Amino acid sequence: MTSTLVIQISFFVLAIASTASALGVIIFKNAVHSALSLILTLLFLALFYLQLGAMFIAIVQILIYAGAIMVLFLFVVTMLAPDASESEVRDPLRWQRIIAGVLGVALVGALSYLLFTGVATQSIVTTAGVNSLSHMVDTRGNIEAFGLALFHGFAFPFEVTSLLIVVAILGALVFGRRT
Amino acid sequence: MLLADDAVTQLIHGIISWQFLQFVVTFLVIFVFVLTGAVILVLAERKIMAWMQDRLGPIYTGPWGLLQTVADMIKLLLKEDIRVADSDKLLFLLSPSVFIAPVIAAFAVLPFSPYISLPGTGLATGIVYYVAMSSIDVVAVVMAGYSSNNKYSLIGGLRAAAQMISYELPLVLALVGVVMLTSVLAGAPGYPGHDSIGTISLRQIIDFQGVWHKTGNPVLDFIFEGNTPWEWFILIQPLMLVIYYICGLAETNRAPFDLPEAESELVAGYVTEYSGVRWAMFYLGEYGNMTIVSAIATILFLGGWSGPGVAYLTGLNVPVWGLVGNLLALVYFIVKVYLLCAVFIWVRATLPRLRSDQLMRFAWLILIPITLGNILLTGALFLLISGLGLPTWVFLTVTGVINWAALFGFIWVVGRATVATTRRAQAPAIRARLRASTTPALPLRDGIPARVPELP
Repeated sequence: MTSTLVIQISFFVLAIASTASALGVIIFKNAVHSALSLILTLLFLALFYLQLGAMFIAIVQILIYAGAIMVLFLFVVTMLAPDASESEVRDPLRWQRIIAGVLGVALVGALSYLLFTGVATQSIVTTAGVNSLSHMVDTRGNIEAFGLALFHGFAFPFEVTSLLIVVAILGALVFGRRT
Repeated sequence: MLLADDAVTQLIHGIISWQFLQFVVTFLVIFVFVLTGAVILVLAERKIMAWMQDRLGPIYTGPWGLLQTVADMIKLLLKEDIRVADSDKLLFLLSPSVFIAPVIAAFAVLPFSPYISLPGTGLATGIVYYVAMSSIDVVAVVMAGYSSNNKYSLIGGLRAAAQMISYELPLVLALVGVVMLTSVLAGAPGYPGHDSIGTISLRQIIDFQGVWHKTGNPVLDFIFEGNTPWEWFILIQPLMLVIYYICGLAETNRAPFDLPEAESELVAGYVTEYSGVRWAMFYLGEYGNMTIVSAIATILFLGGWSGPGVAYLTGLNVPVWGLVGNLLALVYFIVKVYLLCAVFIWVRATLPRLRSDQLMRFAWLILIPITLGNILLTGALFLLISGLGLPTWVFLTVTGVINWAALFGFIWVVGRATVATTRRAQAPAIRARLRASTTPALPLRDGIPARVPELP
């Protein structure tokens, strides 16, 4: 009883904090502040995963998104060192704000429709059985279940993804060499 | 009302319990260790470097200069906290805290002794957690460099970020070898685990290095239970320890990888504009990082807290002997950690700073291929040897022999690479000198070279 209350309270605290930091990403004029705000958002997301009991995903979220990808973003943004005066430039494409607003409202509407009618979550709930992933997590532990799923169940997609990444790296190399 | 009562009773039961006592003891030990560790390490660094350079080091404050760093610390705490004009105020004030928070957080997964370890040490994701925490540090460095409104700070911050990103890869890949060994050993008689599923939990990796089958002889059991140096992973993967240690040097921005703080070019890099408490926090974080790197190396390769008597005394289930065993474990662990920290200081006193061209090439062209090759080799050897039906110890021996050979190969390669890159860097200067020596020296006219060489 108390634990669900605690979980609900922590969920709402996290939800408000992560929404605020996510808003900060688009509201801050300074690009460095936006990038840092995005890092904060990703850390809050990791806390959400932690709250759901997904320890490994939470830590990998911190490691890869907050620690590696966002650091690269931050690196580039700081190297360009935007001036405060530069961000005051007027938007040359004024009509795109209206379209962005309409599309944003559509996205929020669609997501909240799915969320409140529970169309997407129903199929996950019904498949919870002996062979499901949640059962495996309970019996064998978080990481072991993850590793088994990755290297036994999803070995082929995993290898294909790694091939894709190698191709991407080679492409980056080729484009980098040209200059 | 019922709900609140329930919560309060749960809270009280939670507080009055052995787990909570364990938490309090461990938290105090770790926190005091983090805070005093920097003071001790700074003093040790000054004393050891003085000894290596045939100087005296600090001698005036306290007996044998022992209180010097304490006095320095008090001075730093009382110093004015200078804030730079036109700096990015919020980021400037926040970045020391962002730098030190992951350092303290990373200590949560370090087991100091069988009892003195936070619940976090049982964390199944120990190694990944440590790597994630150490990757957050870069954010603080970039923040400090950007917000200081100083070109030197910015360059230092960017250098630090580039260096830390590059060296994080071989650091993680070097640890994978140990994880592979645990998965090979898991389920073998006496070893924890099952179905050859390895572990990345630091606590369990220590258990993997201390498997001793009880003989019944109390003397032998006392010495060797949980303390089996021939099972330490350093014997099987020495090269990975060396590479991990090198990457640790780079991650903590210590010499010879201290380009971000190169005082001859960048004043003090990203800490240039900081003073007083905030400067102290950066240094606390740096020395804390050093301790963590040494501690992880100790746990993964040197058997963690294992030493004579620990497992035997804690296994007796007598409170007094358990206490003695835990204190012994604490002593062994901290001695091992500080010995590795002393190597940090030794390296700083020995090696000159790398040039920036050597820095990146070393990571991407030498360290990453070697660590990837080690993973490939360990896997291939295991497949080969288990395919032939030979026992596990053959695999361990073969891997160990190859790895020791590779260690000397690595030293040779690094030597060759250093010479080659230095020659390449110096080539224009050498060529210019050769050209100068072959062309005849210009004759002087009133002490000034003649504009046109006169024909003989």
